[in-house]
Amino acid sequence: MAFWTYDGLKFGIKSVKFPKENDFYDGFISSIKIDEQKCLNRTKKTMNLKCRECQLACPADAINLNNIFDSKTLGKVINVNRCIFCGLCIDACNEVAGFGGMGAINYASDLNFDIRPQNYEVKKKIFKKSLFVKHIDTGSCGACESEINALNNPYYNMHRLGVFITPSPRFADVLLATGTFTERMTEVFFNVLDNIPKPRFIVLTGSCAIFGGVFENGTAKGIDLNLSPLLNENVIVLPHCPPNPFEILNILLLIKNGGLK
Amino acid sequence: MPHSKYKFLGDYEFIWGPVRKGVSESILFNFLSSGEELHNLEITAGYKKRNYENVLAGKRNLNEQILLIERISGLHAFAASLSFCLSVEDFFGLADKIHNNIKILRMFFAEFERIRNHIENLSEIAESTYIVVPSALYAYHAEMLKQLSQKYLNSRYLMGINEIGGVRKNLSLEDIENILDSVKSTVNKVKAVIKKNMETKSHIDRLKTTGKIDLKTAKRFRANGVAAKSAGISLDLRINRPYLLYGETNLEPVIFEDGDAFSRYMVRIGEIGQSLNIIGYCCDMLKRNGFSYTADYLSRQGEFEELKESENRNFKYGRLKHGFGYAESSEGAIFCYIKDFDGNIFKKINIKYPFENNYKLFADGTKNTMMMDFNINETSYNFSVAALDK
Repeated sequence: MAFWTYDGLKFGIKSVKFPKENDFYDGFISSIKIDEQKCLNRTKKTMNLKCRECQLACPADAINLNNIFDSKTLGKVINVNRCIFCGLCIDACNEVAGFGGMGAINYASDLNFDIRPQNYEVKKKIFKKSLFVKHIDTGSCGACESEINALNNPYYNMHRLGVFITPSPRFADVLLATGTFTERMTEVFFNVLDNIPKPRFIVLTGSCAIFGGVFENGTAKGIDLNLSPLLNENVIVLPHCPPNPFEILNILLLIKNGGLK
Repeated sequence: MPHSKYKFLGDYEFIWGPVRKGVSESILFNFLSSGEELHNLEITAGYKKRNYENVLAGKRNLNEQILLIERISGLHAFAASLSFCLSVEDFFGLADKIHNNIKILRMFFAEFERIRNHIENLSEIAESTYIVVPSALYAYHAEMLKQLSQKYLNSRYLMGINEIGGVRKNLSLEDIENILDSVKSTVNKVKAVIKKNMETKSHIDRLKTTGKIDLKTAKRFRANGVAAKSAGISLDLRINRPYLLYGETNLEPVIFEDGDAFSRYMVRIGEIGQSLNIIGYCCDMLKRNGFSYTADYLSRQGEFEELKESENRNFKYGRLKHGFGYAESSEGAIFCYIKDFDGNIFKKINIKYPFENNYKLFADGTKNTMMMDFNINETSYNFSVAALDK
């Protein structure tokens, strides 16, 4: 077994410097953004929508082009919480580009979300030491689990930052829920939540947990945040399908270090 | 099988799930054990049933249906969407009209997905035998493949690539060659880890004879994919019922006969090498066929729209028409059957993943094994509960 120790040492440190530096890998995507200066509806300077191709193509109803005319709502043209990263809007916009458009929608790679949990008042550090995370699969496709598992690999190596996955809810500070909330798993979710000591955070990981994602319908949907057991909880939503490990790590570090906006 | 049939004095039952250790999917295991030995296992699935048939029937167009099918089981997104696209192309009679370069590209991505899934599973198997360094090395290399896929295809799980009649992403030959070079380099590094792993006795000894299934049992439960190949059954759609251009690749089946966790491990290793050869073959074929950009092969869209309209006009008369497609994923065959096209979507879609059969086989194969080896046994099958529950 000694050669594995030698091999491990020889392999060296492969971890990223994140969060000290935003050294994301080539091709990292954290969101889809619209450049309103290139959008046909804006350049034509009229209140009547000329082009709705992206809005029509979006399978998650994440785009509302009516917001493009008002400077106050400009940032809300693409609803980040509903975007599933399918890229159909980008394809649609690029097709329009062939007919006079300029390809206004594109991928972006910043980590700038509005993630303030409800009922959370001031910037404060709640957890003094390591952060323990309990995961629950409430109906996911397995991709979110794979991304959370990836946090343990040498590239992200979340242990170096004091974040650990715990098998028991009794030791957990954060409950990480993935997947649509199916009827049977919703009951289990509240059971697990009851066993987590306060103060605690709930992170709804991925589009499915927030609104059902592509499965959104009567039987498969996201959790209702107005349910009475959740009214006094710190709930954070982490969109995208599936969210990138960098995004998950970012949220966990913000909880740990008390840097939530 | 119910526990009552196997229960003796001193045996006790305990349940594990649906929320289990670490990061795992929700499923409930009900064990009957006398301490060391596991006498019987009952598996209860269905905790995360999302009723995909109803949701699919409520979609607005075929693109949305593809997106959902990819997300039934995210780790097999490409194979599942491929089986759906092939069934739609079969329905519209487009199958023979698809350009060979598109078929080659689909083979390329399907094998890329297989390699990634197998390497990820090797990491889990190494972790289950408590050898942490190789587990971390495999996981690192799998991560490199995911990053590669995001760099060129904008998705770490090969989602949003397939579309009816082609592929959505515009790639150049140079991109394909770059992907091949990176995959080759990663696989070579993985092979070096595998070579050393084979010399690690504590690893190999724990895999050998664990979760052994014989040929008769595998046939009785209709084993599929890696589980079947490890028990001596040559069951690979790429060889037995070639689709796309697999018929031209002269694939040799990767078969082992012991039926234990070690055989399943070896099948995965064999398939990584096999898939790398196919990817190399695909790249050569693309060069030979004068491929330059994916976008050059998307001209069938107009023809497809016409076919859709014609089907819409004849909808009332052609309700008996159906389409069928299949693809071999990393864990076995995925079949897709479609029916009732209403002009925009298919109202009836049925997808079958290999896990339904393999779970029954797994429950039977764990009888009279050691509790300590349960984790090894489970990871060697690499189940997707999401694909089972759907």
